[in-house]
Amino acid sequence: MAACTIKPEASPQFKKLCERWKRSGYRHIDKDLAAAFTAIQQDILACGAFRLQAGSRVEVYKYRQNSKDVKRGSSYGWRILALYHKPTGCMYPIIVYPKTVWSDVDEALVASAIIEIRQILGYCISPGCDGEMATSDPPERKEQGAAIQVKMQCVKCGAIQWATA
Amino acid sequence: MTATITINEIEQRADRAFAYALLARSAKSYVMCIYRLREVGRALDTLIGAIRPEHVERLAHDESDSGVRLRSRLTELHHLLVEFAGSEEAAKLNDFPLPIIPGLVQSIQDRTEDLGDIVENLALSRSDDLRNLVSCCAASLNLEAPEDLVGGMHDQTGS
Repeated sequence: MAACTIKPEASPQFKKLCERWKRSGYRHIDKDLAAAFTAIQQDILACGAFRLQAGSRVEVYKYRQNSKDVKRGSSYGWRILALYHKPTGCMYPIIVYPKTVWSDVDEALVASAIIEIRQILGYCISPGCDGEMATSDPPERKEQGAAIQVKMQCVKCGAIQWATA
Repeated sequence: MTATITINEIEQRADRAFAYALLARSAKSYVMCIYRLREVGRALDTLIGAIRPEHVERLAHDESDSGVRLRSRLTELHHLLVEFAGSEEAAKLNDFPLPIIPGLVQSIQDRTEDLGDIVENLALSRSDDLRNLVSCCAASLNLEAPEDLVGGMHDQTGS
């Protein structure tokens, strides 16, 4: 049983996703994550841990955690992806997403979910591009139903995307 | 002495025999249902119990014919189980007034979720998009990206 130190505030992507899910109605996300971090801090293999990527210094783990807002088992709760830095024993949560609609999961569904997360985090979703999106110059906005969308452009490949403001 | 019996009594006995026959038919269906659900549950227990995290790690990057076939079969099995687990019939069986059946259905639904988790882990492990996303996140933390050595076997504790 290996313990670790969790740094939930370190990753800007993680903070951004937490804020996003909180706005989407997951009011108890902070409590849910705190419960997961308490368990993982004592044992990095807690919360149904699965190692997605390995390495001599950095590894990626996936965890499952119940959601008080979903009110079903951990299979329907949060998925937390975290980087484990072996030399310092620090765990950095980087991605969190709710699993509510992935009942029939396959590679295509996972791919589209990752694209959605990339979009939320402001990364370009063009195939093969790892650029970041910036507000277009001049800035453009449009109404899409009740939501307002902002025109974004990839600083690397120049692709245009409309993101919800 | 010959017992006298009226047509009415014979009819009553026929009705009773008919009722027992119907009951036997229902009981047979009930037993068959339990038997089949239990067999599915057992097969899933055996399968899921055999797939350890290190197997999933290795299978995720196994490009041999058998590796590709197994990934596809697990996904196919999960689709099939999701269809059952989310069906109206499963919901009815879950509320079945007689014992055993609801527990067996629940167990299959739980195993379906466990299998879904395995399929999800396989898909995430193989996703280049996720790999890129993780690299971006690692860079913003000033950490090097994972070297991605999965496929060889590693100690799960990372020690």
